[in-house]
Amino acid sequence: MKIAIFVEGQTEQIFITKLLYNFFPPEKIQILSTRRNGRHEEINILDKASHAEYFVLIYVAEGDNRALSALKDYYPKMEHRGFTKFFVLRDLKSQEYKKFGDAIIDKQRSFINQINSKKNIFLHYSKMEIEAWFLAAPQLFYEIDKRLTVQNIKKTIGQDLDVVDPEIAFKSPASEVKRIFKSIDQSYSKSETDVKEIVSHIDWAELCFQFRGQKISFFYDFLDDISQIIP
Amino acid sequence: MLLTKFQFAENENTPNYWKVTDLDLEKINLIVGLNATGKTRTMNVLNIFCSQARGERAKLCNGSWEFSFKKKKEDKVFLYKYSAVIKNQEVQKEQFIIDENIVLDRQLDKGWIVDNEGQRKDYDPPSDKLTLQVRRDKKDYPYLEDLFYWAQNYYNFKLNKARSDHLIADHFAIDDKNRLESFSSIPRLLGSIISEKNIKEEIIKDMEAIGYPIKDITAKNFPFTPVPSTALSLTEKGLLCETEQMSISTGMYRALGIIIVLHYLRHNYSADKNVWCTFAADDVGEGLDFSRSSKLVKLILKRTEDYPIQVILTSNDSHLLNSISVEYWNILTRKGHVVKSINYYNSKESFDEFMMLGLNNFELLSGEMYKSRKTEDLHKEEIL
Repeated sequence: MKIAIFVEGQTEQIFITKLLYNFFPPEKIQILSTRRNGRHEEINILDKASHAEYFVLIYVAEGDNRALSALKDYYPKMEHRGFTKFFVLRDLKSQEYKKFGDAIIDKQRSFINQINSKKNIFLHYSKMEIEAWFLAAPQLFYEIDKRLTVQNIKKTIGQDLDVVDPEIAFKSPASEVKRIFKSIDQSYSKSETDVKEIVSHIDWAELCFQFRGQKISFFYDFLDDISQIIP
Repeated sequence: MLLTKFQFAENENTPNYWKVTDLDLEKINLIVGLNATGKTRTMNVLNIFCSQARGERAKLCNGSWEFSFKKKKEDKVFLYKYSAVIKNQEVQKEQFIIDENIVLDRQLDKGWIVDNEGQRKDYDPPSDKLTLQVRRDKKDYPYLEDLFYWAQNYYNFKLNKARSDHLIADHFAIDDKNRLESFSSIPRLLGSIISEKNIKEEIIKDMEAIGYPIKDITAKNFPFTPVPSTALSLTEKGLLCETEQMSISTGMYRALGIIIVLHYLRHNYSADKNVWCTFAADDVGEGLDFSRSSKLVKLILKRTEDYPIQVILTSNDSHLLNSISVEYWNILTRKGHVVKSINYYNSKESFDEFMMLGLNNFELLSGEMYKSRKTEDLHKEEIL
């Protein structure tokens, strides 16, 4: 089975890769990532032979609303080459969301529906950014540094992460993560190293099962759809 | 003073008729369009008007010019409308309106003008001159001064002509507008501001931000020309030697030139001076790679954000277009001899709809998603 996932940035790519490796036996899945390549946005590894039963291609569109455009452009070609499910994960931290609010979600879903006659495209959002999902499981910060208890984090950002829903409470979750790390004289710059460090401390069982119905509903919507491909 | 609307036509009732209409402008503007729709020509005619308003042209250029401006004076905002019809290098009609009140009305060499006291006076201007060239008086006609200062402070940069091996002799002063706009005086421009607090560090920081890491930059005498001239020299991070101006790549030199100009304008048009200037650049990403062109444009917007600098850029580079909100776009579309601008003001519904779709900005142009029944109708009206 060939699956394509379109994301805006590296943070989403690292997060999804780790998420999938948690659910699939390693011998069954092959995950490849490709970035937008300069002026030429060709996905040039489409034909790469895959040894695994599940081949996942994560396309990193590098921001500026390119993920949805890339899906629109590549969908017919990729479908022709055997891709059967298409996911788009994007954030809502945009000028457009500031201006139009949740109406853009309906608008974008109805736009996708126009090309989604086979019902194999799934459009999802991290609200406002994927870092909201990190903040939902504050234990990971404690795992990184024992000073980062929920109580100490509350002193820094003024919110109790055991209580609030980060998808609702924070307009800029990445900035909150930055503040948390700054409180222990460390930085968070969304670099590959920073994101991999955080993601490596996620307790996936906790994140995927424990908060359902309580918080991060956008994450669980995404998880429900992506679970369809899990054997 | 901010230019808010512009319209121009020339050679009416002839096979060479050309018109650009409905250009709505804000503080930040990006004029986009496919090739041969009229981006460069629009920038040229704006520039031509400014140069003749400054009195730099021996003869007036033919055409019908219409401008609207927003002028802020002591917390009040005035709407200025100025128009001039020039035929056979003579002013056929000229009119100035402030908030719906006509303050100047003229045909050929006869007209009347209202002074600051509200007194209407007849006057007989020479028909080969614009009124602002023959009636300048700060006290009596401040609105004409406003128009003159707008033209005086309009800087049009032609990036495709910026080359690092073009040097200019030192005896040409940098306050000569043409020299500033030509890019050849970039080294002298740098020399004039480099001693100001933090400017050198800011320029180095900006170069790094767009992907040209340098650790030092200077302007120094260039010894190999027959007359004294100044050239840039910079040291790139990771290199032990200096790179002389002639060896700087064209793309890097253009980016550096823009950054130096931005700091020059910020230095000379700081927010407290209440005098606006215009930074206009045709094909702003020209010569730069995809990543740097969009970074440079983002930098231009950031560096002019809190300053009285109106920005007018043109491009059809997809990466650059993706970095500026479509709210700032004027999409030029041409049907026959008429170039019409489609923008957020005259096509709000289509633009809002597009913005909600969450596609990248370039799709608005490439997929012609700005087209709606309303915009098609606007073109039909022009043709009829």
